[in-house]
Amino acid sequence: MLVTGTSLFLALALAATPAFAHVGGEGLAGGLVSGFTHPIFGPDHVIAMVAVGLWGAFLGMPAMWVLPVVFPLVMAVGGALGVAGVPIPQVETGIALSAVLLGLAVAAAFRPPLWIAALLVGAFAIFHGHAHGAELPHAANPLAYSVGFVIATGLLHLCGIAFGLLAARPLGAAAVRVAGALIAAGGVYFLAA
Amino acid sequence: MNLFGMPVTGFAGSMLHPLVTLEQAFLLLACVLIAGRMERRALPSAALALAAGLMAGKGAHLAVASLSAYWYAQLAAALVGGLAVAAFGRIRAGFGIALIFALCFVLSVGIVPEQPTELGLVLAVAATIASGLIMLALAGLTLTFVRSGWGGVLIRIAGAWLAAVALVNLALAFNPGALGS
Repeated sequence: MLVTGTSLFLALALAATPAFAHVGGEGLAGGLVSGFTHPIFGPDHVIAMVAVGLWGAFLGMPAMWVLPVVFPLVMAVGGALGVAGVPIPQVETGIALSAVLLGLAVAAAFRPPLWIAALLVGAFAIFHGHAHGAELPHAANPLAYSVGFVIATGLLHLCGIAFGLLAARPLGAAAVRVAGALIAAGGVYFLAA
Repeated sequence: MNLFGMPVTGFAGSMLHPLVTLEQAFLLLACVLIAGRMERRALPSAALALAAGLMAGKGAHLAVASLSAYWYAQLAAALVGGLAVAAFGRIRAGFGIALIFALCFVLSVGIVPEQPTELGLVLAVAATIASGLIMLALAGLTLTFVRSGWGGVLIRIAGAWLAAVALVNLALAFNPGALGS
């Protein structure tokens, strides 16, 4: 009943559109959609985000929540730098490299201490955040845009985590490592492209 | 305010307003997540803190009109709230109640009545309190039942998302020249 009530209340809120005096609904929805699709339509972003979740699940608790928590927070720092116009060299290379290294980490069953894993993930998050943040000022509704890309990023992490949970099974562990290798190969492709 | 194409005004419209104003929605979400990580028996105190924070904040705003100039404070408060949820698996009652009070204090500065009258202001604040209490009662209470490791993970991730969005938009707030560039 609690869940039903909450869902109903939220559904009503989502169905409400603000008055014309505020930022128009089109701007809000448009910003949300464009922010959501920004990482989704970037295959280099997609494979790297999935790799974060995959590696977190592979490493187990507490990495399973630490990495998906660290990533958006540091990504936001990168985003802030992008908004501020602070240049970061080779952003696209950094994004592709993140897929390569994170994919390799999974493929090689690399199990570093948690702080190293978090550091690695955080370092790459700067590049992803900068790429998203640079687009933020051009968005119809920057706030909605940022909600969109953060949610999309988180959902991609969750996809990686969901697949990574297969590592607990004998054949699943192999499948996860193969997925890591494929992600790394994808990263190499984007590096070369 | 429109709901399924029908205009919604008055108290009902004011209740929906904080849920469709993103900065205020973030703050209410932060309050719900914080309450959800507290002990269930602390929820009534959290509800009191929510109402008290909203009333105190609007009272302070009426006394110090220049508080409106710090409109980015809502984003800063959402950042703090999100970080608290991401950082702490469980939140102590005292800390959580203080945080909810502070978040609602900041939120209330952004409450704008439909009618620029005293009654309009009272209704706007009351409607926001009502919205907040409903969210707390439904979503906050639901979250206190989440005891599984997975549930805790998802809530912490939600807190991280909230903090991330707030941080990026704070950067935009301090770089207004970036808009349209």
